Amino acid sequence: MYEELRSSTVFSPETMGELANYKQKNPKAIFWAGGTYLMANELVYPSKTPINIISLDRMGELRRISRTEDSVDFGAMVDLQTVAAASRQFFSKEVSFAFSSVATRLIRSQATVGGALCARRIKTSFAAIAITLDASVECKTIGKRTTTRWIALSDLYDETGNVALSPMALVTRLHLNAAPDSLFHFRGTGSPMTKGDEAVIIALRYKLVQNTISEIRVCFNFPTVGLHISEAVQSSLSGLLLPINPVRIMRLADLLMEEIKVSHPGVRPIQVEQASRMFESFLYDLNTRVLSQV
Amino acid sequence: MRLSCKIDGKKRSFSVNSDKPLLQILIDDLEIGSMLSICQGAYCGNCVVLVDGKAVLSCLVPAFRLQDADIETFESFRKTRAFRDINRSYKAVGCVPCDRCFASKTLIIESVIQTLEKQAAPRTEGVALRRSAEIEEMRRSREEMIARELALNSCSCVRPGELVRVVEECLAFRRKRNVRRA
Repeated sequence: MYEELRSSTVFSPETMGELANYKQKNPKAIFWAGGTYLMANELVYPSKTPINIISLDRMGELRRISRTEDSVDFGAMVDLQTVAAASRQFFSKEVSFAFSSVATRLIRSQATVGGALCARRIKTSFAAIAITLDASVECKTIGKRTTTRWIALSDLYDETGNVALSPMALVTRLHLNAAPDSLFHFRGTGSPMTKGDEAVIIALRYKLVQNTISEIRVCFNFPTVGLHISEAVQSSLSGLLLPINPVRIMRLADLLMEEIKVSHPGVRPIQVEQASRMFESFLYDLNTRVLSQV
Repeated sequence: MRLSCKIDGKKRSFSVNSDKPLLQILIDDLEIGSMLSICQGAYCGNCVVLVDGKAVLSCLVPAFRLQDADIETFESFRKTRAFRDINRSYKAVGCVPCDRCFASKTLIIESVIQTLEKQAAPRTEGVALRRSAEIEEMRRSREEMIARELALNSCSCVRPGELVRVVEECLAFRRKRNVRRA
């Protein structure tokens, strides 16, 4: 079965310079972070054509975590279990719960920040959570001169919610804001890993000042299709006084359904319905919260 | 590539393709009978082994990440006291996983127990009655966490609630033993 197979070449750089040199000579080489996505989706063994792998395991600079009073930076090779553990000290209970729900502990210990953000075929809920926290990422593009730029995480994905990163670019750091006064809502149905075409995840961050919603960020994740950041819903909800009339909730849910259908034709009708119900449920929860204070 | 590592306590060295998953190394090169997974990375959860003491899905770990690693499969884990504790808990609760997932479920349970042992046990003694709701909430979230971790193995031969009881039973047993020793 394995007679004519050639072994893949693995290069493990320790510095960004070594990595850039190798990548320039081998533009088709793939970056290897934790391997949970690549081993499961892209490189099912045995593959007939040998590939060049750049293992990022030894790059110390990609494993750093640094924090200030109101933000935290995670290197791309930090594993998701470390992020979940660190989030307990830094974020609210809800955000910390969301980071712990990305996958089971066993997978989180192996999956990395960079891998979770840049996986091409499956979108993890990690990206959706980070987008609602106004995250930005440091991207290094390898060329004759390696250039570095910071971009908003939402700009890492195109209109259909897929990764819009050139093969010569690499995400090296993730910057998250603490947003201490914000409230967070996270719900999911189904497993993104095993049943990605059925799962739906919603992550929301917002502020509630005198019963008025402000600074709301909404991100839906349809794991096998892409991420959906709803600008129209965000602007409709921003500045809205609670409680919201049930008719208006219905209209907002309809608006969301239409938007998802147009921008992501690959999303299944059951997922659209689930997304809309989860969104409605969030708004009704907000109403209950406000009315119970009266 | 030439891979040197320790498997079930024995030092091994052999030639393998650098991207060959550990699961296939264990099946093809070492003929380990407890590895029953064929999902090729579809997260069936039937190929759990311990690498340097940590539970991992062996289908997701390539050979080049295993240089000098200490790998423990169910074959050697079943000879340990940790396994006997879990086996005793299976019997106490009255549920035993099927042959197909027994090895993996047992190793996942061991990894969950190790995690919970590192955490402080929730204190319930001497807490005022008004805080009973808080204790109940803590207990529920802990049970949810255990069930979530155990859901990694997709085989549904045992109800999740029963597996949570196995974990709690085994933890209680190990705590008692540690107290007796102290």
